[in-house]
Amino acid sequence: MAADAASQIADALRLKSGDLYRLARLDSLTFETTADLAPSATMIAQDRALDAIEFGSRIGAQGFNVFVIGPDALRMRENVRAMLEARAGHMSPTPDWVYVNNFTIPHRPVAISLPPGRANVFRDKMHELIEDLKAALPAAFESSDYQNQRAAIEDAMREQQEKAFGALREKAMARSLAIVRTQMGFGFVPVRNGKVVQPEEFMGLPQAEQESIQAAMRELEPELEQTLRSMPRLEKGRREALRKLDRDNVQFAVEQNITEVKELFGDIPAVIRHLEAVKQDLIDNVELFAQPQTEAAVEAARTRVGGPFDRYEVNVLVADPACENCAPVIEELHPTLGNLVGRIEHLAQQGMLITNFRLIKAGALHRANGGFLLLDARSLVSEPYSWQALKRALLTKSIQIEDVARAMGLSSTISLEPDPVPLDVKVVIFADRQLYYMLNGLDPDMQRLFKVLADFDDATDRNAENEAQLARMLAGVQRDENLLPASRSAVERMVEYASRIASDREKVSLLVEPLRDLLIEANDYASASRAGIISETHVERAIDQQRIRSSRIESLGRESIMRDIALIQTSGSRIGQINALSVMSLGGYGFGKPSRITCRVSPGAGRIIDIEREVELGGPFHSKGVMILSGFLSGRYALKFPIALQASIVFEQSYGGVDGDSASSTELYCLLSALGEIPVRQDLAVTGSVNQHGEVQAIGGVNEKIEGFFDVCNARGLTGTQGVLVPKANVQHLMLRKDVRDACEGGKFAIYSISRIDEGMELLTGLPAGEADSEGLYPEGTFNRKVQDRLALFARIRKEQGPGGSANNGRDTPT
Amino acid sequence: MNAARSIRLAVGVCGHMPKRHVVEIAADLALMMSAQMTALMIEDGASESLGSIPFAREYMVARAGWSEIGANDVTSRRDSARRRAQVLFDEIAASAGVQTSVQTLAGAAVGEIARAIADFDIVALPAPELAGEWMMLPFSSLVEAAIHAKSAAVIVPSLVSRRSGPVAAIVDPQDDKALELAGRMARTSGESLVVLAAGFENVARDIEHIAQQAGVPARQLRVLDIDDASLEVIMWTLGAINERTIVLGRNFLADGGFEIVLRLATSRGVPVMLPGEA
Repeated sequence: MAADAASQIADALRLKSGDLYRLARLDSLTFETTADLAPSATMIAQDRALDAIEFGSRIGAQGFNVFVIGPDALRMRENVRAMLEARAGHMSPTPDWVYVNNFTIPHRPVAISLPPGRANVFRDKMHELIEDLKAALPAAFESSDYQNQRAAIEDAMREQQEKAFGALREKAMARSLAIVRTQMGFGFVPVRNGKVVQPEEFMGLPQAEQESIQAAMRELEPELEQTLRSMPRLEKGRREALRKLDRDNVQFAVEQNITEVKELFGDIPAVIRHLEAVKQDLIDNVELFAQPQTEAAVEAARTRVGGPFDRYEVNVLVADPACENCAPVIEELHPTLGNLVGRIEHLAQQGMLITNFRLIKAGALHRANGGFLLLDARSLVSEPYSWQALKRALLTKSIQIEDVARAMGLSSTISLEPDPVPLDVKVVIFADRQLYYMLNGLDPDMQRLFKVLADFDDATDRNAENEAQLARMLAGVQRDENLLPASRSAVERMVEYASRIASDREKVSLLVEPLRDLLIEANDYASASRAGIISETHVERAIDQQRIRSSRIESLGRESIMRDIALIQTSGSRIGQINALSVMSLGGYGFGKPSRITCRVSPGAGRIIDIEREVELGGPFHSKGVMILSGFLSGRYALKFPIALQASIVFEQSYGGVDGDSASSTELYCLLSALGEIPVRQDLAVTGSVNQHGEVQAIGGVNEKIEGFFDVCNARGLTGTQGVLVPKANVQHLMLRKDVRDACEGGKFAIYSISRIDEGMELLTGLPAGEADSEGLYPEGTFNRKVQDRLALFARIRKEQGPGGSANNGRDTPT
Repeated sequence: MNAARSIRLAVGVCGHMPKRHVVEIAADLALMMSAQMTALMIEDGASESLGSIPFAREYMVARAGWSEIGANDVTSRRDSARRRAQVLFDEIAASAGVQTSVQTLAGAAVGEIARAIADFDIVALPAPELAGEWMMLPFSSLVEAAIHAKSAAVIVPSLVSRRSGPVAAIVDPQDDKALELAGRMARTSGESLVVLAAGFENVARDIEHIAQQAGVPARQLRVLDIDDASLEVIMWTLGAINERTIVLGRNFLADGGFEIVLRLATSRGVPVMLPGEA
């Protein structure tokens, strides 16, 4: 192609400086610094998501819990939380909850709901009640009335016993017998003159007398037996009388104290029922107050948590909310099973783990009950059983405290089974998009339980209104972080930076975090230089320093290119070799990296070998891009004859894997160069995807790719001919660094907008594309013709070889 | 009691093993009085006799039935009781830090028991669990011996209600021995002394004199004049005192016999002490 024609083509395709960057002007705002701006009250341009939050927080139907998705850098949580707190402020405060002892089924503590603010009063009153009874009841048992009544009962029984034995003794004495208490029982012995007849004396008695003694014993033995058998009945009567005495003794004191508490909670039937149970239990267990500790009681104490009166205490599960007149908004940062649904604690005592209702602890669901619970999805699904437990609670509308060990089947000991607490909560879960869509795809419960999606945008249109909102947002950051005011130009620069983050000059990023970080760093430089405001210079420096801090790997890569360890040519031309561009992302920092693509061709069976794919270094998207090349070739050149081509394409010196089709146009240029034996300019780098029709399609990371090649060329010294070919569709994404723009402005570097492969080939080769005639033949001197001719040659060779192969295996002669 | 030599305290063991707390209370008493404690194993002749009679039987409460009893049974039980008593007393004495020994009195009649008891300054008797048991041998012999012995006696109930509280003395106002014993008990236990005396007003003695006699500071002494010394009045009065120990003047035995001692001990659930005559 003539130099003039080539220059015209280059001029036509070269982008002007205005195409490379979009300045921010903030004309709709009048301000000198951010101190003059009122901070924005809400998130910018998130109407869709915010409306979803508002809807989800308002609707009460089951299942309308909210999933909030978006990158963390949007700082959704703070804003969502503020919205929920605002709504919670218009909601009623939620009931208090307590657990109390279940006197009939001790391992099933009873849950009681009380109006807000009354749980602690209930607890305190019960504690007072017991303390009062602990003083009053022992006194009742020490009163002279009680003592005397008890003594009377004891005396009555004793009198009966003595009377029975006394009568028997009299009878025995009348028969010259005495009752004897042996170690294991009772019997009769003969006596003479009040003394026991000794064995020797007895054996000396006449037989008749011995028999008489025997007869007397036999006669009295039934009465002795009957008397002894009646003793347990008397004893039982004594015990029952004493028990009744004890019960009657405490009845009045207990009744009086209980009534005082009942008067305070008469409006809560569950509390009244509990107080009745307490009263009955106190009366039934009066020995706790009355009698000295038996061995059994002491032993029981060893295996009990706390004192014997703890059974009457109240375990306040939920009370003392942060806001007394609104519903709770609770964020659980560590959603383990226990933190979520509550847990039952145990105490180790004498080698055993023991518990009671007082060791039940509330979980986040309890604290959020009646309001809102905020959770992080990744944390939630990372904790064993938490996700299932949450779903179970939402489905059953109740909170059942589950023991982790039992859930895992590790424990079979009987623990507590507390009453489930009815649940009415709105759960708001924050997640990244990937996790959300994965859960949505794999868990059918998602559709049932999380019907509201609040999808936060990463970026929004860059118009005057949104730029102004962004400026106000920065004003808010400046105030919140107590920073120096930022100048107008600094704010404008930050708006441009937000556009760069969005990788689109028609958009601004809504990611607050990086903008906040930048402003804070700029503030640091401004403060260090004792400037009163943050200027554009400080912002620029902050941007540069951020890049420098993250660019070690990038620098090493560039160094390897400069030292010709990684071979990248930035001048001259070469057949079958071209500069490609890729983006590497490491730790949130992306940078462009030039790579060399080479291609070799020979007659063959029509196969384009993607070496990356062959060695499994190529991802599916990359493989797809390479396969598209076959479609292009066939569609353009194989109308009269088949494609008898074998080509191999490779990313040279690439060992880390390649994916994406952003280099497919580059590979096509390289393939066409190899096919047509046409040298391709090495002072240009290419990025862009291509379809089968030869249309160049948009790619990602266009700014980083351009800058990556620019940095290499700049390091070697700009020649004035170097540049990058980018898809036309990506021009709207350009927000290039100032040094790149300045180089372009000065004619030392260029960015070319390419919409079709033909345009790119003309620029890269200097040869025109030409138009095919009616026979599909391209004109001589065009690159298409050269490719066509070569393919026709391959086809002939292939035909001559036959399907088996060729003398030189069809290898092309190296150039 | 002769204060010149160390005090000897005996725990009467007859019939069956005393409850642990009885021995513990005796050990506490021994410790308070710096006494030597002895288990006085009374192997009564009644059981021996029962074992030697061919047709003798015993009603075993645990089996609710009659069983033959022979001399071998008596012997083996006696030996077993000795061993168990030795173990129990050794253990409790070691824990309490008192000296202990075991003395056996085999086949003793009342007189012999009384003579044996007389060697001791105090004899502790466990109150039988059955109310009528005190009428039976061998306890009846032990009781009779204790009543007639010159030693002090303490009857320990099978269920003790309190181990703290004032010492209550139920005495004739002129009963110096009882007052002295009660005062000594109050002093050594660090408790106050409450004196129940009938006809106190008629006695020309003031509180200070009684306190001096008892060796108790006046501020720790309370004297209650009861109208009559009937058991009912005494029990009613004691109801407001919540005593830990009762010291009963021996003259009260003349009215109600040993029965009154047992009733006081079991109804009040506290040890009842009778002063010695020495």
